[in-house]
Amino acid sequence: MHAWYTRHPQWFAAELAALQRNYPKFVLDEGSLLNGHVSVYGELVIRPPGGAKRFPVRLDFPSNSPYAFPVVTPIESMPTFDGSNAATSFPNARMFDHRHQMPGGSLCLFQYETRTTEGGEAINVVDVLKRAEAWFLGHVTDRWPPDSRETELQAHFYRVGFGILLGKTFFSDVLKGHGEFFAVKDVHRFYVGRSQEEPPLIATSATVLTSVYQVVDAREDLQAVFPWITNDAWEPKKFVECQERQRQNKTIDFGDIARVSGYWWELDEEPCVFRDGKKLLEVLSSVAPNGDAWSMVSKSLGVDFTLKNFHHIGLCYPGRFGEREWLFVVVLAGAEKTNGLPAVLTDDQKRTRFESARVACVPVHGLTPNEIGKRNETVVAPQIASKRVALVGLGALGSKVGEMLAQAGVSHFKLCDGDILHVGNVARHVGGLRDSGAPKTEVVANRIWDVNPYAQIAVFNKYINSPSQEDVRELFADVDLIICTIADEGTESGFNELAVEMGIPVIYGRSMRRGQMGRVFVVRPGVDACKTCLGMIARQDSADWLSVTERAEDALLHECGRPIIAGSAVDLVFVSGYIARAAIDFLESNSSLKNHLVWTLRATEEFDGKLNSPFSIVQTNFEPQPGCPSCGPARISGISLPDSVRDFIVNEVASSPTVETGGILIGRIDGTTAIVTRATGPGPKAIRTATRFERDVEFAQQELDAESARDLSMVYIGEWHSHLVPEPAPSGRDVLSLTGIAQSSNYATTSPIMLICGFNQEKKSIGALKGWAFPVESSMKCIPINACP
Amino acid sequence: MIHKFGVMEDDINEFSEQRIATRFRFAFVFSLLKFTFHSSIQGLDLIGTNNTKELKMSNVARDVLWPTDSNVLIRIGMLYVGQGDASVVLIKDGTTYKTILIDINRDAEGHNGINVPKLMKDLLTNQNGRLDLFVNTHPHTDHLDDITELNESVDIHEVWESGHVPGKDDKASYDELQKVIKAVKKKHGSKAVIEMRGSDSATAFGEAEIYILSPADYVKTDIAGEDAAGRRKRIHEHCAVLRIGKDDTWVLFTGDADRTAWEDHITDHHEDRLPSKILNASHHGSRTFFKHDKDDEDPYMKALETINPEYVIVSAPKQSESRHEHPHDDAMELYEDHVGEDNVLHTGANHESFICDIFTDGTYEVRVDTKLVEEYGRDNEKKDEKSEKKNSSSARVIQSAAPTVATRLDQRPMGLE
Repeated sequence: MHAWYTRHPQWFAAELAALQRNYPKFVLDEGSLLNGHVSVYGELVIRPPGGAKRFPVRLDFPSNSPYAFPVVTPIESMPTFDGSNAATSFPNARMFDHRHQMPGGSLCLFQYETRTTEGGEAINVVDVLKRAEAWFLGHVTDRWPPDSRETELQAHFYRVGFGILLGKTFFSDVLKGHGEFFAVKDVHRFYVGRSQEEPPLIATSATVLTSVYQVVDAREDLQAVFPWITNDAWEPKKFVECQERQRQNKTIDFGDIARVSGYWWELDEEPCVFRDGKKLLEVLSSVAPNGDAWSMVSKSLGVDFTLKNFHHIGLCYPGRFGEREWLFVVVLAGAEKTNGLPAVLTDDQKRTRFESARVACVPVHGLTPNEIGKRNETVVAPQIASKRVALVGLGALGSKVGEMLAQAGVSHFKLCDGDILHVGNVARHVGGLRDSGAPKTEVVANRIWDVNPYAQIAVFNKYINSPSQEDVRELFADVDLIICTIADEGTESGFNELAVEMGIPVIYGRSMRRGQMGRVFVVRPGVDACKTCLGMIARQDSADWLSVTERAEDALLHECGRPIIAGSAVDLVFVSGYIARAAIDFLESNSSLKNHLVWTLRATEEFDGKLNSPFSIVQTNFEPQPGCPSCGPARISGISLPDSVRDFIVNEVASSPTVETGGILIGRIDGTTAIVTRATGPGPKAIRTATRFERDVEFAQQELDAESARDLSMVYIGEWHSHLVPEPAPSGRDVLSLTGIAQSSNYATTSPIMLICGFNQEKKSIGALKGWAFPVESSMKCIPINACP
Repeated sequence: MIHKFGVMEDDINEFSEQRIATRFRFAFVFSLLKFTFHSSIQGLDLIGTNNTKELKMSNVARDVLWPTDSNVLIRIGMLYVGQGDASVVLIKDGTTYKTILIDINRDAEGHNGINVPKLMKDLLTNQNGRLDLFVNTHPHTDHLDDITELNESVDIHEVWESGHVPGKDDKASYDELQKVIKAVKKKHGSKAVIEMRGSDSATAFGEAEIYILSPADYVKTDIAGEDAAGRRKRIHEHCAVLRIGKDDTWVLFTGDADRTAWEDHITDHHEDRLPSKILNASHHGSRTFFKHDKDDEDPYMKALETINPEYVIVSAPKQSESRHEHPHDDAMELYEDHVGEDNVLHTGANHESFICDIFTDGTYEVRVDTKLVEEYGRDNEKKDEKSEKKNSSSARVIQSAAPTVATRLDQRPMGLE
């Protein structure tokens, strides 16, 4: 015998002693001992106003006692015992209409506690019975022991099937009052797939019958997951028509197996637990006209009552968190037919059948963003749901990161990858063989929708190679974070320039040495060292920099010069995990503790012993490098432009509506500000067309010399010209010229500025006036223009 | 082959000594088990510093008696103190509770009654030991014993007493009360001690009310005029009766008030002020509430009928452990006839206390508690003495495999079936 009390006889003796002290009249069923169980019977006495009340209970010690709580089950009466104190009758569980009695009758008295509590006190049988007393007392006084709001009402019902999936429409205020609802079984999984399990119902639509007949189509909620429900067959009106045909023919056809419909009512408060049709009618009486729920229900069910074996009924009510909740039940009243036709029953007969019918619940699975993300609550900040994340590269790392971010609650994605899923990818990708041949963007989008059907996803089905791609700028214009896992030095570097210029934070992640190592770094422009800075740091032989070189023999294959150094999925998840974690940290708080992380799976003696134990991590913070050509600050960061100079430029541009005009800028440099005191005109020999401008060099030189002669501090600071478009930006020619000026020693400046004034030809009006700086060591920067009197 | 936890009253009387020994052993085994169980399952937690801190801050008296649910307006603990009375009353007062102790007794007979001063000290840990009020219904020893220890354990801010000056039989306790009264006056001023007198109006106390229904002024004057023998005889006529509660939910504390007090002075005059949901039965369940003496053929029922309680709580030892045979069978029958057998609760029957909660909405409940007796019962003190004698170190007790109380065998059924 391996009963628990033979393993823990002392605990058993202690429990019996505690019972004897506190509940001396409880009786151990010695018959149960012979079967390896411990059952004890007795009456709990509660003392509410009006006098004591007794509740017979059975107390069962689970087979893994003392590590599990004794279970209390209310019973209808005390059993009888024979001469050897073995129970000779086994009274049924007594069912109450309240939370915390499980379908089998046992009471759920403990939610968070384990048998040993924080203070070190063990919860013993007396504590269990005291809790049961408090629960019984609640029935009389309506003063219940505190319980967790998370416990679902439906947990207390018998369950049938997996349940019903409800999209967010069902949780909105559109459904007011009462009406009919429609659902389909996941026919694809059931008929096309291999699953033998009862597939879930998918709620597709509902009608509201309260005042004006209204059809609410909820299919859009879940179409990202079940695209086929947008098919006509499940269109609400068709559904209703089809059902009406069936009712008139009084038969049920094949389609009925997939189609499910029922009636729903909105209640003012959470109903009690109920187990038969009679109690359901009591629950509904609060919303029935004149309090007569039966006539309301029978009117709704109509001919279905004898036609269908069971009836679906949905109840919605304000939940414990203040939001709407649903309870779906089936009333198992059974069809009644004579000679294959629905039987004719009197109203009383119908009512009796309905009231005595058992009720079970169809568990509700709310597919709202809140419900889906419930397990992230208090772990991940909810604001990440509103953040936009672009994933550049959707390979082994990128696809997993996308999946994890979606699971964590990110719901706006831009997915960029030009590749399609190859058979060889599936060993490491979220996509599988059934996706082979599909663009990786599509594969990852489907995976994300599978996690969050409401995710907003834009796909960019191209490789991103260069910062000059205009469509890429557009794509990234509104994102909060880019995650780059392309792990190609050249592409990353170009990408880094683009991101720094656009001011978008990027997290770069890559695996190294076949997945045995990984590097993840965060670049918030201006805050962290950018990729170019890191290159500078690496060249400086900084002690903090861990230079991980790849080994030629690790290269799996060369795709026209691009080596594939593959790691295994089991190792890559560490790197993708770090990337995703860094992303969440950033999205939650815009911060990261350390911006650079190198990880190793195996101990290595390289790197000065910094990674000399398995699973080591070195975290470092790298600052932006002064003079970084990608992210180094412009030496000229602002332009001070007097109104008089602005007026001069505007007048020049206005008087030259068909061809470009321009000149040079004269003034002085004060710290990081270019103070413009004068702009010249184009000069008589200037070349001016609608798209090209070359100033009269001689004229400009004379103007500059004259100005310097008048005031020695006046120097050349840059150029200005017009573009015949409302929103001007430097053209390739502009950039070439200004970069040349910066590099040329003639101009005596290494950071010239350029103003471009737009002109709207259609409206004949002045467009935007914008400024740029062209530092010789770095890339062009757009800088602000400040007016001054 | 009968194995039943319940043992009939008769058995208990017959084998009480044996049973007590057995219980000691059980209690000991249980505490030992608790220790070993934890050290195996929660070994790491045991050395956690947080736990130690937690344990220091709470104690059994607070855990059991101090309300954590702000809906509790009044909590009353009618404590098991053997042959005597002691009731703790906590009354909501904003965010805290005002504290009252009505009577106090030391279980001198040794039936594991609660050590009230120790319990009160624990209960008032977070109140700096402040006891707002001590009420003495009358200066009999079983309502006063340990008053000096109480005064040493807590800071009594106010005393209400009956004004009765007993004869020489009860002089020792009375003198102790007078000493405490003197000390309280010295510390909290002369107004801190009040002589109770019956009144038709209630006194607000915290968010509840207290009626003093007895002794009436004229009774006091009358009895004060008697000689020592007369005063001794009429002390239960001179006993305070208090009704605590609010609106329609009241608890009546009757001290030892006897038939004469009820019939001649209380019932008729206070007819509207008597109805109470819970009655703390007069005089430990003695027949003197109903009858002048044992042979009184015509019990006085009007008081009980007017009070009309839903529960009667009798503070008395087991009859077999009472020197006065309290509670009296005939009195218990009258109570049971009136409120039903299930609703007469007797502290001594199973050595337990009763806790009554009156909620702010007027509903209430009564619960049984054994934890206070387990923690503050005087048997613990005896046990501690015993184990100290046997083992100088408590650590050795835990390691010892042998029972520290002599083994006593009893019937233990065995066999294949």
